[in-house]
Amino acid sequence: MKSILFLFLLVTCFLAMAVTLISIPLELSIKGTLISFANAWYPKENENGFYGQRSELYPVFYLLIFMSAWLISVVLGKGTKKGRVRQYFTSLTITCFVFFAVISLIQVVKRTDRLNRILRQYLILSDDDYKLKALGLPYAFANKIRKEFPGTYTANLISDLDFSSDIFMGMHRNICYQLLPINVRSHDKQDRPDLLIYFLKKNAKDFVPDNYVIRGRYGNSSLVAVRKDLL
Amino acid sequence: MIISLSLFIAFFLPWIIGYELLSLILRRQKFNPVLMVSLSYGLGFGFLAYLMFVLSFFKLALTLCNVQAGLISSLAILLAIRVIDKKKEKNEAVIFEKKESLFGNASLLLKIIIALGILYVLYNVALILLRALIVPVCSWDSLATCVYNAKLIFYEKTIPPLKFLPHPSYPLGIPLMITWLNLNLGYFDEYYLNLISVFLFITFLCVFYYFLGYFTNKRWALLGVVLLISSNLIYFHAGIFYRDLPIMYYCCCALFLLVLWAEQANKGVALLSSTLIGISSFIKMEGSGYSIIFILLSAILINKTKQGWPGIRKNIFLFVFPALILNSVFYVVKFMQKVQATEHYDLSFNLLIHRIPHILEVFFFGVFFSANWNIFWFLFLVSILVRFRNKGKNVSIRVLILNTSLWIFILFVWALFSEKGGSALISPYTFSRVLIHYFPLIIALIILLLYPSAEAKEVK
Repeated sequence: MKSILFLFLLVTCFLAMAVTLISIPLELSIKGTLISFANAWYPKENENGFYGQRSELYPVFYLLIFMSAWLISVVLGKGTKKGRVRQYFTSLTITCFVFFAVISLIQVVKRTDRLNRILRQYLILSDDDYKLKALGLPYAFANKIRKEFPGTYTANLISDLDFSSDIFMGMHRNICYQLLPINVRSHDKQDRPDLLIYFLKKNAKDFVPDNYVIRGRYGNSSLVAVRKDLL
Repeated sequence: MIISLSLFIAFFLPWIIGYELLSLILRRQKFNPVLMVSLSYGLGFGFLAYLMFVLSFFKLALTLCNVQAGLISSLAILLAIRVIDKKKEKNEAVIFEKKESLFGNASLLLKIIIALGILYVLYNVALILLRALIVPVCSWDSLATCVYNAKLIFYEKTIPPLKFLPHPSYPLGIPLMITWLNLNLGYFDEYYLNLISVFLFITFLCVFYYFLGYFTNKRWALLGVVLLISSNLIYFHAGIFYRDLPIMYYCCCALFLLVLWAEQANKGVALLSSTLIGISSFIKMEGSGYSIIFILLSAILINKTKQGWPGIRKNIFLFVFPALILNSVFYVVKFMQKVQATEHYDLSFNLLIHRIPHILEVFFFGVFFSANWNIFWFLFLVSILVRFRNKGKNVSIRVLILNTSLWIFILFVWALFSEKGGSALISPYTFSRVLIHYFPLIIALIILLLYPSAEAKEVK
């Protein structure tokens, strides 16, 4: 146990030296280098996670792991060639656990910090304002409509935005979810829907069919029209 | 107060049904109490989802009254069976139990490290729980399919025709579980539904701990749990409601039980593992593919037991029949409603060779150059290099490696031969999530390979 602790301290000292040296070509302070390292292992989290976020520092980490393992195997002493190879791999395993411990510590700090920021918003803001901050315009728009039209309806969502594109698809899904129980996505599109919801549609009122009546306006390009026979 | 009571009932009813089902499957045996409770949770909620699906299929409204009636009737039947069985039972033997202490006669330094490990796990679980309760539904898949379907079913009080649902071929296990919770609350809540996922994760940690503890010791098992919870993506998914973490629960638990069966053949364990892998097909489409891997592995293990034909036939029935039935339920309904069986498995058998470099790139960067997995994939490779020669003959290690290899192979083949599915898979967003499904195997293999056992157990 004590020898493992000694090796742990040895690797940590080596890492501290390495961070100092690496900060030179990165043209950062030591603190800046440490922050870059920390951000590599806990990048900015969005509502969909961390996917696809790469960092140029990962090869540096693996290089540090290999070098640390070599350092440990040198300190532990030499033996036969076969013994040295085995010792190197054992050192590599120990080094991996050291790195794991350091990275986990970084992650715990970052996770706590992130949650702390969310919690502060949650406690300060009202439920509606908090959701507005988290979910944005789709929530605001859908929330207004749901309050004015409580109950279950079928509806079509009409907009100038291309909801099939990646940029606006998320907005469409969000609006449709927030609008429920007003059902936009999951009804027979051949039926006459109860409501026509115009969202960011230029001159929306010109597109309202004769058998619908405008019953809600939200700015210049968004409105809700209700089928006449429902009134 | 009322919310607490509603939540209690929402969790208690399926949980107790799961416990009774588990006791029925295991008959005169049982696991350690914590393991019983952990497995009961998944089993109970899986049963709940199927019950609600069947109720809706027979045109019964999915109101709180109807679903509760279904659950209580099922519970009554299970309790009646237990009472009848009790008359014949003598003692319930605890299986796969290892009596040892976590702290034992460890040195002071080791005790501190163990305590830190426990604290680390508890702290992260607390973070996950808090996060689940204060972050509303805002992730893509939750808004677009998973929780969307649940909200729709909640308001419609029935499952609409599948063709009207987003991604009609996607199973409805998770949306139905969420609907149940909200039926108990009486309104659709954006926060409490995450508790289902959180408890699923916590119970999975317990199962993982006991599985590793059986093959190593409690200290190494704790290390395994620490490694698992320090994966960023697992931590993130534990607090949101996607399908990936639930399918991880069902598939990995099924596989762990299969490995336990390989150690010591047991009818109840075989039936339970098959049931869990069958439920996974109602959680996510990949569950059907993983069921095939599971059946293949079980066939290999059954063959290794060198039993006579009656024994082989019995084991095949136990491993295949429940998985097949549970897989079929949703596919039959899809067929009846003329909905495509799958959306992403358009195998064309035109080898998309030009795709290979991109697949390898996505895999390499997604596994090694990503913040999702700490350095576990690298540690896994190192563990294989260091210890596979000594430990490669161990039954549990072989089963896990075989499963992992088949899983990665199937993903690779799917990406290679399927235009639509492959494009989805090799997106970094999807690929990372698919890796969650069997990621605990990587951690389990690291622990099993590095654990300093006295000698490797030979293959039977």
